[in-house]
Amino acid sequence: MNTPIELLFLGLPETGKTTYFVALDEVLQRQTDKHGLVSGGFSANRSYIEKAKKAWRAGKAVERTSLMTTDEQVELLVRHSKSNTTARLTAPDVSGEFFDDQWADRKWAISYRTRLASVAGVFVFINAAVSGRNPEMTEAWKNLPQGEMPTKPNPWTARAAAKQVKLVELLQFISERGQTRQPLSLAIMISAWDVIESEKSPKVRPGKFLEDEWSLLHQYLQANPELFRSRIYGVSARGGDDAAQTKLVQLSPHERVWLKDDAEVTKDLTRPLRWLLDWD
Amino acid sequence: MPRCKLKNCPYDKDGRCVENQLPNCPNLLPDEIENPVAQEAKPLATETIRTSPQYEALYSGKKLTAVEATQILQSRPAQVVVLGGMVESGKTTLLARLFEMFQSKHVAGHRFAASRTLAEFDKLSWHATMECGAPDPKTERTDRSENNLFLHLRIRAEDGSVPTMDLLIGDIPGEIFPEAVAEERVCLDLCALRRADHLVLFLDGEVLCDAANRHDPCGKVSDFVFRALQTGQIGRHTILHLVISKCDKLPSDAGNEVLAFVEKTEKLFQTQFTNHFGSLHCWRVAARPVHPVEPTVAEISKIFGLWIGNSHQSAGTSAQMPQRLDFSRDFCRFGLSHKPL
Repeated sequence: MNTPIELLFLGLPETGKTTYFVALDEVLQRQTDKHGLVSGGFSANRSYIEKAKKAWRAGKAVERTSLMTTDEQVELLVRHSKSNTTARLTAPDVSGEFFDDQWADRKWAISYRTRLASVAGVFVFINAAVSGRNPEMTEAWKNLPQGEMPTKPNPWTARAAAKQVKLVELLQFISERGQTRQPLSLAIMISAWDVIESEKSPKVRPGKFLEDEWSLLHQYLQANPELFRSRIYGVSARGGDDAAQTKLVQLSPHERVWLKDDAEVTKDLTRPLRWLLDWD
Repeated sequence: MPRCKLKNCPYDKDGRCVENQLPNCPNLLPDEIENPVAQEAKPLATETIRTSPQYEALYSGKKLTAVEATQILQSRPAQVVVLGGMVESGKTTLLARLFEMFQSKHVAGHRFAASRTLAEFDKLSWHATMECGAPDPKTERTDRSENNLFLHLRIRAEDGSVPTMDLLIGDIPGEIFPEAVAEERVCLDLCALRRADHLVLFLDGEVLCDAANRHDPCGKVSDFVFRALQTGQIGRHTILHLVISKCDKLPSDAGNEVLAFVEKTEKLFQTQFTNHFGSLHCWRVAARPVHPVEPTVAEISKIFGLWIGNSHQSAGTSAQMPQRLDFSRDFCRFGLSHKPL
């Protein structure tokens, strides 16, 4: 119980890392799935989680993580009922800008690299509502009225690069320089999954979505089984967008959330965690 | 990019070495500390990592130098592809399309497995994206300072049956291409040619429609082959490709004079050079055609399939190669291995 298991939440800005973390904490307290992980108690300092929870419980978007120190740990105590194992999970809740900076500035904090060596698994977040590619120019764009066209093309900047390109690079940095265990377990979390399909009529498999929409990332993971093992999830950690807020608040917070694991819909947001820890 | 420490050297401006010692000029300063990909003024969030002020550099994501490329060649199975042609003949656009294809799907039965030059690949397509905001899709020309630099791609067969393979892709800047025809010294400076498994030469389809101005680029392409054969940089160990780019600009009616000229050019190219190379292939592609024509992705997949599938490098030194170039093969074909890396 006392050896902490370290996890990493990796994702570019606005990919739902904090929202999932907050929802995961709530589900741990109020688990309804008999196979799911449950809370093993409260950690000493929960102020960060509690602060973010206020908005989330009200059905609102959780405020983006302000740039935090990489040493600031958020801690969850979890228990696996089946094996009666308890673990202390720690994860620095790092802002998406921290990762965007790695891509653009081509350097990382040595402390981050050192920490990677002890990481047991990584949650990799992408946003279902955001394209992995920078879309190619279309006729519709070219036919915009003259006044609506920009006068001058924007020069390429690293920060404007395609998101899947950035994410692949971040994983390349980890595999080449991170001295992590190999293969490293990655739970690919496609957030805002409610944008893709409704909980009541699920049709799309997250793996297929990744293959079609974030193909470069999908190929990279498939082509490197020696470096990474991965599983892909769709997650709605808020339950819906701003337009759905009125409906959302009719339900208890832990009832709003849902997760898509291959073809299966579940309320158990701890499932990716179980998979990362080999607690299935 | 490496920089030259000599004040009188034009290397920083146009990639030429005043002492003619490229790519191993001892006056070049490495770019490890430089941060070439970061273009924006946004500061690193140092203030947010109060307890860990120490940073370490990661690789730049920019094109690889010949030395870096050689390190890959020495450590893994790899193919070297060199693209050449006049300015705006479609070399970079083909590469941009190839990466766009990988961003959407696997290509020629192979998955993207890694790249040391992802930032460069992303940059290739930038002027054809809506994010760029340009009125028309374009591809930025390869600057002459990018001569003897390489894009890197690692791929793996979809079924995972074979190990990963690396590709190093060099793009001879359009300004340098005719200079290499004119001056042997410039041609010999194209260090990638010696190790190229594939040499891909481009003719702009749009230019071929211009009866008066099409002869010079055709002549330049042939002359380039003659020049590089003469220097012994290419030969039976090389697979030669002729790509007619922007083929959407060619007339579609059979029997048209332009099409007849294109066919004649392809045939002449084959007649002149087939016997000098491992094999020779002619292609017609439209990597970024005008709407509503679709890009010729099937054709580009086939070209890529050949790049990763065929090599004549292990066939031994060509009998036609001059004696002076008969040094050990493969890794040293950039002419670097006799010097410590």
